[in-house]
Amino acid sequence: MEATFLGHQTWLISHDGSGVLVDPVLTDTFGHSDAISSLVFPPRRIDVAAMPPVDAVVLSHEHSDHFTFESFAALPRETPVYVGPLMVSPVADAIESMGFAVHRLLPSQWVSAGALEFCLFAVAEDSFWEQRVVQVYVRPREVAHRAVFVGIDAAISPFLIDAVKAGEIENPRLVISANNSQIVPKGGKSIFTNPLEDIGEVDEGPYVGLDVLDALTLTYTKDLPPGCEVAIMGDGLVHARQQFGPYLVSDHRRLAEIANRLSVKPWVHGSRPGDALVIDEDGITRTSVDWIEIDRDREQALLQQQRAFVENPTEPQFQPVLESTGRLGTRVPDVLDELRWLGHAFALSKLALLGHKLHEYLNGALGSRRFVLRLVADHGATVQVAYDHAEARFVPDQTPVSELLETFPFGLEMYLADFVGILDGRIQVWDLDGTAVNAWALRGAVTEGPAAFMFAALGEQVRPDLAARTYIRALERLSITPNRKLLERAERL
Amino acid sequence: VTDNEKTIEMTFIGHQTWLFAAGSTSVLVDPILGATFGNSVESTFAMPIFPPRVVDLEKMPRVDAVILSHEHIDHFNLETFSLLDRRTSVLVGEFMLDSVVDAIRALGFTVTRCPLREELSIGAFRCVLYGATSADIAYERRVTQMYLWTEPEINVLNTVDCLLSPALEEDVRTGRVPPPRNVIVSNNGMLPSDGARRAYYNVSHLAFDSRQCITCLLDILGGIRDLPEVEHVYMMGNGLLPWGGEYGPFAWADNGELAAMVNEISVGPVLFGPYPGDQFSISPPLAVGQAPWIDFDREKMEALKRVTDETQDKPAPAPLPVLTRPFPSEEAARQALAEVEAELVTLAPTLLATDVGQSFQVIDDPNYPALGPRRVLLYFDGGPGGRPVQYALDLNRSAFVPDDTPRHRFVETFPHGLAMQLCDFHAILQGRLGVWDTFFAPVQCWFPETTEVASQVNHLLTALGNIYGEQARPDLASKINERAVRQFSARQ
Repeated sequence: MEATFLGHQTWLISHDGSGVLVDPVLTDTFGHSDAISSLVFPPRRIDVAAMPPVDAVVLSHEHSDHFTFESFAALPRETPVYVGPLMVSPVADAIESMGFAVHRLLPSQWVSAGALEFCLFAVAEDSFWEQRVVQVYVRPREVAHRAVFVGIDAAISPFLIDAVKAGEIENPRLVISANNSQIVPKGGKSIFTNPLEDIGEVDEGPYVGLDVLDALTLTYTKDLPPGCEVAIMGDGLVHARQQFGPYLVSDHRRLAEIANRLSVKPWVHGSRPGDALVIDEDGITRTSVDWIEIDRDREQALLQQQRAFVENPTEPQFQPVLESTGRLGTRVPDVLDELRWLGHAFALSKLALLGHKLHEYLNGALGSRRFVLRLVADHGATVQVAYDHAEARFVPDQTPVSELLETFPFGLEMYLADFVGILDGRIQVWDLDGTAVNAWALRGAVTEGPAAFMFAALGEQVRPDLAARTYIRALERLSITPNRKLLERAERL
Repeated sequence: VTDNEKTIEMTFIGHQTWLFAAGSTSVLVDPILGATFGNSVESTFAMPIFPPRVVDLEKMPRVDAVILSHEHIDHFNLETFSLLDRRTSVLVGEFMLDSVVDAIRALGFTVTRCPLREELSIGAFRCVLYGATSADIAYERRVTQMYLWTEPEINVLNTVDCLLSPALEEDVRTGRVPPPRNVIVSNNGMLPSDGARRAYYNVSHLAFDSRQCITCLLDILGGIRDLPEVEHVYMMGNGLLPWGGEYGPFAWADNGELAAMVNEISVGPVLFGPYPGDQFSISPPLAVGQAPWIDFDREKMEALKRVTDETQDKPAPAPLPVLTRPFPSEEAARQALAEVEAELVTLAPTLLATDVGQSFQVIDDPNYPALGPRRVLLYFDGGPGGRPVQYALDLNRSAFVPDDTPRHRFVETFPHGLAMQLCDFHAILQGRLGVWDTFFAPVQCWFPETTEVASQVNHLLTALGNIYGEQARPDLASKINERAVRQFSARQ
């Protein structure tokens, strides 16, 4: 049994000439938009022609760091594709448009793939944007004690743990846990950077690397019987607007060395693209494959960028993903129309509930407006609205830009061009990470904040129409005709 | 006060001993200046400080005051006190045990019990003492932490063996004390190396690999996240060779190495893992140097660390070593056994009243699926005729009963057990051997292992430590201390 790491969270699990490919990102970069993309880190080149045969593809969820159209385009169309019961339908439609057969699997439904068999597990409560993820248990059909569990994007599934404890399934030999920490250096910016953090709640401790290491190794596996080893994946991307290069605490080889030095026996594997973990009766050993090659020069350059930033952080520049065009002003009616719906979504959000609970802020007692949304554009086209809790809708707001932070306990500022781009499917809300958003929140967890609200309201789960528009564009770039179902889904809900 | 007098120079002497100096004032904390520690003078068993170092007392700066945080033998050392100038003020917290205060006074010192949470003046220093927290493990709840400063921004907090005191956090919040910038924390994990574990400490081959140094570090450093102004953290502790060094130091005893790893994956305050002789001048900025009066041998440290790897498979000696002295005669052995058996009559219900004793009632370790009422074994080597004697605790009778389980089946039969020399257990009952000495000595103890850090100290050694330790049995503590005072006074 062999688990080959292709980068970030992509794995090929193979045995005796059969293979299951999990979350295929075979391209150097990912992202569904032609305007912006992220680089897989460490940067690597995959020679897909030399990749061993794939009997099945499993797609855990729709996020673009797990799913690229170009990667599917490189696979034989007769390869069956498996997704979980909650996979948003436009994804299945889009993959079917490419000529693949997509199968929805229920949890605990076993599928054979040559000499392998696998089944999917739902994850536990996590940040809402990861709750529809499925994780994958793969084992050889003929040999015991070789199972691999790919713990994509969340804590290890509690349903796996229950099944192992109940004796329904063998304890995996190798648990692959996902580092999703995305630690930004001091002075760096992500969409979650919160200028009010010092007076709000602080999520990350000073010794955050230890927290991450503890979660990925001990905490994730503590309810499994002893005997499994851990491999760390994830955090393997550099967003185009990430001025600091790779995330901190994402050197998995080194993290594993530290974890092993702090353990009684070595049991943690830190994965780099091209690593193959070979599982046999003697244990787990690391070899490498020749069809994946790390671009060491580029890796070093990015690490150098990170070091330079840590030593001397540069001020993040608030900038749009998409360029403004002269026609942007003509789209303002569409935006206002969209904001009517967004007001309903906001009313039902956790952020609105947080707003209800606040009664005063820096300028004294709060009125009915507690969240401001500013869509920046040139030539007076800027749209600035505030959510009015008494009116239960977004209303035009004239607060001067210099007073927004002290007037509203919650706010989000982005470019009108990007907002329109999301409505048109030219970019996805996720593409705003980095420097395209300024958001602030007096209270609440990251998953309740303004950026999380936008992710929830404009992400694939709630707005399959926007996802469908994005996928249609992506397919068209590959000269693939979207099927009728996908075209219908792109109609505004 | 000159600028120079505001600088705090801290010197790490080893394990948890520090010298804090500001201007002409110097304060020694938890002084252990010799190569070994321990107050049981009848013990023939040496407990060395790790990493090994030599402190040149002639060249060490004059000491104005000693602060003693608590009575544990890795902090309180009568032999060291006997080497200090009797004019040195000795300051302790208000709950320091009489047995300790009496012994230090008997050596000729003036001991002052200081109120907690009140500002004291010690020469150039201002100082507030804080107590332990209810979240600390039971046997560390007598610890006094100390916070010293000369200027609001030139300060150092020594948390000793405890978590961060909530009282201190409140005082920082209300502005009664300045926010700490330098914090000393203790690596008190005392996690045995694999070889030592198999030989002495949780000898159970059934035990889960407790891979918990990461958890340990998170516990140690957890309080720092509540102190946003901290700039430097200093991790001390784990600084002794357990089991006589036969299996090397504790598994994670090189604080310098640990600190380097933590810093590599952190965004927080710089963590130092000082070696003996390391000096830090807090002025700010921080300056790092070496004390010329401490000779630290790094090569010796590395050699001792290598012992850990070389003793992975070294078996425990059988019979176990004698820590005090063997019975002088067969008659003495018989007499001692009679006394021990009489003690076991009261030990059984006493033990069952402790937290550890109550945990015997439900043992959900899957390695023991079909337990009867006998769940705890006490095994003593070197009884009358040189033969071992053994007793099982029968929960249905709340009594120790004679037992004949063969030795190779102990661990699989009893979830808890302790094996030591009869003469040593007898010495504990007589106040000739401190019960906590057995914590670091070659006696075998086993218990169901758990990943819960708080439960990792739920075993017979800690239970006996609480039953026969200084708090519950001041009579035994006083006997040990009096013997030490007699010996060290005579030596003077």
